[in-house]
Amino acid sequence: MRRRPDDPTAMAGRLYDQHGASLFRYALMLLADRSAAEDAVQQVFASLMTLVARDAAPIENAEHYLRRAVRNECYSALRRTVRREASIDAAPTAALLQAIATTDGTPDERIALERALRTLPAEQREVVHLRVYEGLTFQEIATQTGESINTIASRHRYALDKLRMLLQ
Amino acid sequence: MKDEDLERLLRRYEPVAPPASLRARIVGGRTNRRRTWPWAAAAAALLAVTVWLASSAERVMQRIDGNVDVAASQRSVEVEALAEMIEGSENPRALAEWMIERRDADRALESPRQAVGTTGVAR
Repeated sequence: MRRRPDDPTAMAGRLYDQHGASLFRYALMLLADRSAAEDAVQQVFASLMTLVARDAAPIENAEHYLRRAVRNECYSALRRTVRREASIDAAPTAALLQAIATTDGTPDERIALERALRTLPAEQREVVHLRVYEGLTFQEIATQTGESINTIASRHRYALDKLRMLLQ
Repeated sequence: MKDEDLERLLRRYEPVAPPASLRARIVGGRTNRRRTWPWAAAAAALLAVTVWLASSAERVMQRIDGNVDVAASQRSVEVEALAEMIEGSENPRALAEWMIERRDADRALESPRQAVGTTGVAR
């Protein structure tokens, strides 16, 4: 007997409630652009709903699927926009970061940190995000991104060196 | 600044949360208008231009066909009339056709547009 397909909209809502915020933050750190991050996440969920509506094979690990899809969508978006944005001065100015505790940080510190993060290549920002904000190990990051652990460690090293130089 | 200090600084912040409207955009199935409408407008414009070109080309072809038919019948009448006038010669029709062709060629040299109007063929 054929499995009754899940309602795509209900499923998307459920998955968004579970993983949406994390996916958006991942996209935001990759793209350094809130509007582009929203578009990327929306595009991924739209594709997922289309897939489910066609009653394709069930997605075994939805979180893994969504993270890979968001990553692919972000890198596609970066390839599309790399020709449009000639310099970092043209980068969007909407905030990337927020203080976790209201007593933490100052606006100047946050702005300096954001500016420094924006100057990093997306691959390095990605490693910083996965390491610092998602708490993954280099091995887990390597598995998730499909890169070697040495590559991930190098990106992390370059990212920290550049952030240190810019923030001092 | 050590690596630990830098990571500690980063951990005092986190990437901003998604706007509440994003869930509505996804679940509501609203398409990203910014992304789709330029393509839709371009496709509509292309379709309109294609239809207009096709209909224009058809009208032009109909006019050309009409001109060729009229010119051919007019030429035939002229040949018949001239053949009657020079009847008595060895081959009046062939002679008449030759004379009309020479006349059309002379006109074409003087004014190509006039020749087209007479024979329907640009020389």
